[in-house]
Amino acid sequence: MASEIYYSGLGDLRYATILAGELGLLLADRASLWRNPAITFYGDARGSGSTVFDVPLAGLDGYDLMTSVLENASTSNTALTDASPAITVARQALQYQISDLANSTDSVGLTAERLAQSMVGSASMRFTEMVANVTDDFTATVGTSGADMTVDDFFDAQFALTQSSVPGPYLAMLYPVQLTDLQNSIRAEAGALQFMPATQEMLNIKGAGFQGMFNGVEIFASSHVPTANAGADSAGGMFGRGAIGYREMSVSVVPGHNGIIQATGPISVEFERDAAGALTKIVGNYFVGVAIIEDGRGVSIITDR
Amino acid sequence: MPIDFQGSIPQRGGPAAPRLNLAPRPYFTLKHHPARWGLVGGRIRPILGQIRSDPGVGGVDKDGGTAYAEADAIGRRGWYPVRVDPAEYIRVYDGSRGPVHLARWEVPKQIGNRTILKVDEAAYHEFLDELVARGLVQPMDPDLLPALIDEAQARADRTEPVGGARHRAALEALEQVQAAAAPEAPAARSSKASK
Repeated sequence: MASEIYYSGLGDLRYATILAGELGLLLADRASLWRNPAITFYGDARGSGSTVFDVPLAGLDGYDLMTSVLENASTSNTALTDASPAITVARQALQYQISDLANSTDSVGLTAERLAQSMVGSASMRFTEMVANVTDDFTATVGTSGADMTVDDFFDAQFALTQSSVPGPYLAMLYPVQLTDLQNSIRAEAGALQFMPATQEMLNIKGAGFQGMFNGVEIFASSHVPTANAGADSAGGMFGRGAIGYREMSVSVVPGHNGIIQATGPISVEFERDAAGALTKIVGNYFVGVAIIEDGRGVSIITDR
Repeated sequence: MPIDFQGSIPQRGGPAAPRLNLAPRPYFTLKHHPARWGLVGGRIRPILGQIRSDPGVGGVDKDGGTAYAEADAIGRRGWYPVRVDPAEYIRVYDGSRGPVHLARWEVPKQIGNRTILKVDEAAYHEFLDELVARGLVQPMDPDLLPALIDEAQARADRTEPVGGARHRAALEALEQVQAAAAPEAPAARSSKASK
């Protein structure tokens, strides 16, 4: 036999490799706390006159208690307790640049438009990272450096909040290792305590990072939880509403914003064209600030990383 | 006249240059809160915090300035800055997506595309003890100790019905906290080292 047609003989008629028709996503933590009701939103800074926003807090409605006085005694003034923690809005940004050649030969959906669309996820995860970077900053701490997180650390955090009269519901933000250590510890727990894993319905409502509930506390896992004790530990946290707040700023469209494709919310995405180089920049901007509003409403959970 | 040239070993540059495969981490300074003490390495030591130069986080301004953040931490929430030379506690590495600032005791090692961070905990514990000895961190107020003992005792009691490793760990922690109450308390072994 001769003249069989083999694949190896069709080098000029076959590709070395081809791409699948659908663009997949590289593994990354995409669990976002954006818009989670446990974190208080303090509005849009646009047109406010400053990037710094003081949150007015006053000791009213039961902070100061009345005291008994004699029938004919004069009362004296009580000093009002107040505080004004600041949230400072700053720019967060991401930029890609794609050539016309790369864009035009695309067969899988990796285009300038797709890169622009991706900016929302990048902003959302930056927000989550910023929240994680304040949860290690509560004055109160529980846990033991170098020791795996146990159900006792979880209870200690919850008890600390309860004993400080922090209104619930509480949210625990943990490093994934802390979460698995906690689950491991719960396995050994006797009695009616049960970890309630997230159902699909709950995930739809609360987002991908929601892991479930334990003892009435929502648990959220994030790889952005920072280290403590020189990297030996993770510093997650548990907090009630009012502990952490954030403020955003929507962008005012200015002359020259010809390539803007999204400017109605806090994220602006625009194209910047370099015709001479046949290149297109995709620039995403997100103006946001995150801060601890009331330190007493949260507790850092510091355990082995 | 012949000339002998001697070359030097080149540093690999460009895209092939070795870069740490970790997300960027900002520069930070250290702070301490007088109420933030706990078991670190088997002894009661300060649990330090960080003021990170991360715009938008905790009052840090658009340029990474930490004046507001420090004012908030110190003035409103009772932290104290730990005035120590950065050379004593921080290192910066060239990361694939930007500079990575790590504590001096975190040493990265890249194995394939996986990065591990080795932590010299014993050296960090020494650093903490030195900060106290040098007066850069004020010693713990002795009145905090009863609360720490109470917490450790409560945990030991709570884990008693469960028993096992958790109860043993709780008892060990209780002993370590109680040891701090004894005069001239000897340094206990690190919990990590005893694993």
